[in-house]
Amino acid sequence: MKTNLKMLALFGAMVGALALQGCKSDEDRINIGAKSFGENRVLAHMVADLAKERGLPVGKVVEISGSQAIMDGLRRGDIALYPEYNGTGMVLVGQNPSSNGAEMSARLTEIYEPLGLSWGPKFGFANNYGLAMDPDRAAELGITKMSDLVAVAGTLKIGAEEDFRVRPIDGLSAMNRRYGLAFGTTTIVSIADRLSLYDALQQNKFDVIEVFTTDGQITDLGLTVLPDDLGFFPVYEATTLARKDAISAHPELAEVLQSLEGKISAEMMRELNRMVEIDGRSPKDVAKIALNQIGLLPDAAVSTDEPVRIAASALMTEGPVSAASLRAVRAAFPGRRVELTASTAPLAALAAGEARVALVGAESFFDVGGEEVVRVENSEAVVAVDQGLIHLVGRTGVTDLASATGLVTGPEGSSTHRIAVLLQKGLGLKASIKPAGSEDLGSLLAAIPEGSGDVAVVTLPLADATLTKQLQAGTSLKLVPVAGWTSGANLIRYPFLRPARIPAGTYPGQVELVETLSSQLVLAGPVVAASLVGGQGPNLGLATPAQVALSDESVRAISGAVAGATLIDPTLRQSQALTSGLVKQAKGISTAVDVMLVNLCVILFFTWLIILYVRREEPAT
Amino acid sequence: MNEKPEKFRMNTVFIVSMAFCAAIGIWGVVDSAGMSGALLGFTNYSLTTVSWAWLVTCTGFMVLAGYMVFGPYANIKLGRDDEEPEFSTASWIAMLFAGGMGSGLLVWGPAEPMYHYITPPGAEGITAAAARQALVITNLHWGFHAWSIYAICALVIAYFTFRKGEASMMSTPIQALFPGLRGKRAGQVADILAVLSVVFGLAGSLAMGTLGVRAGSFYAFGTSETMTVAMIILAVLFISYMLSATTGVDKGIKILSNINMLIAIGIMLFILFVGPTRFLLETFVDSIGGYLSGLVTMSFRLFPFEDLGSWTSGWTLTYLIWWIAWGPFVGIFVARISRGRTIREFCIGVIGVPTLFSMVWFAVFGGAGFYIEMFGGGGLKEIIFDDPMKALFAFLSYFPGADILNALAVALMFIFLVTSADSGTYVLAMMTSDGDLNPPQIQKWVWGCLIALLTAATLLTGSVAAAKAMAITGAIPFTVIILLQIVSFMREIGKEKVGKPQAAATIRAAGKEKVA
Repeated sequence: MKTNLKMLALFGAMVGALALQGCKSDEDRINIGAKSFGENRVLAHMVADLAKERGLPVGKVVEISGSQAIMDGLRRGDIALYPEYNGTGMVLVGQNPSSNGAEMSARLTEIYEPLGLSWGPKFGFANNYGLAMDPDRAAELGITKMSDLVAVAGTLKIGAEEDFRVRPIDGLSAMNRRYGLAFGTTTIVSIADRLSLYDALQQNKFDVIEVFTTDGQITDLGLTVLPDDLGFFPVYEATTLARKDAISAHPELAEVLQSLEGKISAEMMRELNRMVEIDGRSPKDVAKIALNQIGLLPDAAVSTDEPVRIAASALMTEGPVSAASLRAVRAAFPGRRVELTASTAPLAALAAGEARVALVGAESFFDVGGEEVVRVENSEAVVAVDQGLIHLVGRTGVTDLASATGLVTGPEGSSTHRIAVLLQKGLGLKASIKPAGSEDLGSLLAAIPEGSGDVAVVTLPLADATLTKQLQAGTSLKLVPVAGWTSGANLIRYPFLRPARIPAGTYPGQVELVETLSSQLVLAGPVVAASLVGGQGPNLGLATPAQVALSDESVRAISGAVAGATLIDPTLRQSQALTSGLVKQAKGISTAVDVMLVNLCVILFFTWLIILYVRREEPAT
Repeated sequence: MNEKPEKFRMNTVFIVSMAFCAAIGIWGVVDSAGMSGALLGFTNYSLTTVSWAWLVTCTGFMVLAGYMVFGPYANIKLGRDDEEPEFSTASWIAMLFAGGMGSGLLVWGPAEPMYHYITPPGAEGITAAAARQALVITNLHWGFHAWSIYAICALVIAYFTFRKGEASMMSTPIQALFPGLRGKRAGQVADILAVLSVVFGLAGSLAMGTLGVRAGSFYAFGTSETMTVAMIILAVLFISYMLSATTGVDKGIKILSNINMLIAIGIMLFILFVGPTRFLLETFVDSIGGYLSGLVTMSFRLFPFEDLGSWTSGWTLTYLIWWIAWGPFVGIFVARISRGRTIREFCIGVIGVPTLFSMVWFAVFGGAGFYIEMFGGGGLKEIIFDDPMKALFAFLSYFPGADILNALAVALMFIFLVTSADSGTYVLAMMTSDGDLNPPQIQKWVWGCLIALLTAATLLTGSVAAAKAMAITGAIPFTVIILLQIVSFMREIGKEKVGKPQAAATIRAAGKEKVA
C-alpha cells in the first residue's frame, strides 16, 4: 500500500512536471509567424528548422493571414519574427514601395526602429509583379524584355487580375504609361481567379499575362518572365521582420537569419513554390528540401510519403484538363503530393492500385472486345471534368473514314484504341487498327508520315494547344469527319459516344466545321465493395493499396473542386457518395434464397439454445 | 513460483492446431490476396445477412453481464469460498487493459470519433450534433458491449476452472453440456478453433503493430521505413515477450502492464491538462449522459429505413466480432488473473472500470481532435481519413513537446504489443497443455517462436490483410461455441445454492481485501 502511494505521488509529480513544462515553455518559445501562402510558409519553416538545429526553443509556425494582422501579432509578441517583403513593409506604413531595394531597406530600418522591430538580411529574391509569356511565342515575336512589347502591343492580348488593375502607382495603367504600351485587348479576372490566367495563357487566349515573379507555375509551364528593363515595378524583396527583444534574447537567431542571406534565388523559390502549390507537398517538407539543397541542413529527413497518383492517358498529361484534375484531387488530399502519371489504361492502373484516381473518357468504362459493349463495374465516376472530342487526324488525301486503310491508335486497352474499335464496329469500316507504341500525340501523328496508317484517332478537349501546334507544323495533316454515325443503332448501342461538332476555325487551316463524336472526361475512383466489410470502418487499415476506395469525403471534395462541372454522364457508374439520400430503386419484395436460409438457420439455432437451456435436467440423467 | 517438471506435451489439440497453422500459414503466404478476399468476403456475407442476430447476441452478452452483477449469483466466488484474489485490484485492471484492447485504443483514440464526426451514419457531418453523436457511437464500440463480451467469455472459463476445479480450456463447458464422446469431439473442435484464432489474431496484430511502431519511430526518431527496420523491431519484440512470458504472469506480464497503464494515463493527463482542459472535461461529462441515455437505443440500432446496412456491418458489427475474435484469448487470460473474486466484483472490474476509462480516453483524445477541427485551425481530419494508422502521431504533433509524446507513444505501442504477445503465448501454452495454469516453459517457447515466424512471414510477404482476415473470420464459428458455453454455464450455475449468510460474508471479505 505504502509503495503504491509512493508510486502514485511520483507519477503525479512526473505528469505535473511534464504538463507545467508544456505550458510554461509555450510562453518562452520562439514562435515563428507565416502568412497564409506557400512561399511565406516555406520561408518560415526554413527559419524554424535552422533555429531548432541550433538548439533554440522554437515553438511552432503560426499562420496568420493578412499583412496587417501578422504585423499586429508581431507587435503583441505572439510571434518573434516572420518572413516579410520590404515593399510590403513600406505599404504597411502608408508609403509607396520603390524599385530600388537597397534604398527602401535603409528607409525601412529607420521607420521600424522606434517600434522595436528590425529587418533581417534578405533571402536573395524578390516577389514582384511581372509579365510572363510562352517562350515560343516570345521568340516568334522577338521579345526579350518588356520594352520589346511596345512595337507589337497592338496585336497582343494581355490578361491581368483586378488588384493589379486598380493599383494607381504600380498597376496596369501606370505600367502602360511608363512603357508606352497599348495592348490590343485587356482582360481582367478577379484576384481569386488569378491562377486561371496561366490556364488561359496555355490555351492561347492571351499572349502576355501578369504574374508574381516567384509563382511556381512559371517553372511548371516553362514560361519566360520578361525583364523589367525600365525598372518600373517596385521590388518586394523577401526578408524577415523580427522583434528586437527576441533577437537580443537569442543572439543565435540573428546568425540563423544571416546564414540564409542571399541563398535563395528567384528560380529556386519558383521551384519551391511549384512543389508546394502544384505538387501539393507540405511547406514543412519543402523547407527541408530547400535547406538540404543549399547545404545548411544536409541530413534533413524528408518524409517519403507516396504521392497520390492520377493515372491518365498520355494525351491528357498536359493542358487545362490535367491542371483542373490536379487541382480537384489536391483539394481532396491537402498536404499530399499529387502527381499525374501517363498510363495507357488508366482504369487498369486504378484497379492495380498504381493510382488512386484516373482521368479517363467515358469509353474506358466499357469492355468493347465482345459482341455487345459491357460496362465494367470496377470503377466509378466521381466528377465530370470536361468533354473529350474525337479528333481524327488524317493525311490530306483522306476525306472520309470509309476510304481510310489504317487507324493509328494507342496501345491495346487505351482509350483511343477502344474508340477505334467502336468506330470500326459502328461504321463497318474496312480500315485496320494499327496500335502505336505509345499514346502521346507526337507518336500517334508521327505514325502517319511513316505510313503505318492514314488516320490517327486522338481524343482531346476542344482546341487543344498541342494539337493546334501540330496542325500548324504539319500542313499535310487535316481533320477527318465521322460520317453516318447516327444512321444505325450506334446511339443506343454506344450511348456514351455522342455526336458533336468541331466549330470551323478551331484549328489552323480548318475552314469548315467537322462532324465528330464526343465522350465525357471524368475523374474516377476504384469500386471496393465485396472484399471489405462495407468498404469502411475499422478494417480500413487492412486494405492493401489496391483496395483503397476514395472516402465519401474525398469524393465530395474532388467533385466540389471542379468549377462549373456538368453532371456525370448517366451511362456511367457514379460514386455512391454523390447520390445522396435513399436509393430509389425498385427491388423485388422477396429476398434471395440463401439469405432466407441463413436467417432461418440462425433462428433455429437460437431456438435450439433456448431448448437446451430449459430442458436442463434431462441430458444429465 | 512452484515450477513443475518441464515436459513437452503432445496431445490431439496441439498436433491438429499445428497442422492447421502450417496449412493456413502457407495459404496466406502463397496466395495472400486470394485468401484475404475469400475470408473477408465470407465475414462480410455473414455480417450483412444476419446483422440483427449479431447485434442481439452482443447486446445479450451485456444483458447477461448485468444479470450477473445484480442477479442472484452476484456473490458466488470464482474459487473456493474462502479464497483471496491473487493480484491487487490495480494490477488486475492494468492487465485486463493491456491484454484486451492494447494498441487499438492508441490507434483509434483520435481517429474514430473524428470519423463519426465527419461522416455520421444517416445524418449531416461536421455539426455539433454530429460531434455529440460521434462520442456515443465510439463508446458503443469500445464500452459496455466490448467488455461484456470479454467478461462473459472469461466468466464462463473462470467459473469452470476455479469454482468447479476443471481444466482451463474452451472445451470444458462444452463437455459439461454434451457428456460422452460427442462432447469430447465438440470440445476438441472448440479448443483447436480457439488456438487458431489466438495464433492468427496475434500474428496479425503483431504484424500491424510492428508497422505501427515503425511508422511511429519515423515520426519520433526519424528512422527509415524499411523492411530491415521492421525486422529489427520484430526481433526486439520477440526477445521482450519471450522474457516476459517465461517469467510468468506474476512477474513479467504484471510489471509491463503496470508500466503501460502509467504511460497511457500519463499521456492522457498531459493532453487533458495541456490541451483545452475545460473543453475536454465538458466533453467527457457530456458524453456520459449521451452514452447512458442512448445505450438502449444504440444497443438495438440498425438502419433498415436509411438503407445503411453497410455502415452497421462496417463499423459496429466489425468491432463486435473483433472483440469476439479475441474472446478465447482474453477469456482464458482474464480468467487466469481473476481467481478468488466474486462474480459481481469480477463483472464490475472487467466491465465497469475499463468502460469508464475508455470513455475518459475517447473524450480526451476524440475531444481534443474535435477542438483542433472546430477552433484550432484544423488539418487533422485529412490525415486521419487518409491513413488512420498515422492519426495518433499526427494528433500528438499538435501539442507542445510532441517529440517526447511521440517517443512515449511509440514506447507504449511497443509495450502493448509485448503484453499482447506474452499473454497470448501464455494462453496458447495453457490451451495446448490441457489447461495447465502454469504451463511448461517449452510449450511457451514453441508457440512464441511460431508466432514470431508467422509474423515475420506476414511482414515479408506483405500479407497483413490475410492474417487479420483469418483472425476476424475465426470469430464466426467461435460465436456458436461461446453461446453453447453460456448455456452450459447457466445450467451449472443454476445448481448453485445461493444462501443469504454466505453472501454477506463474501461481501465483507471483499470489502476487507480492498482496504488491505
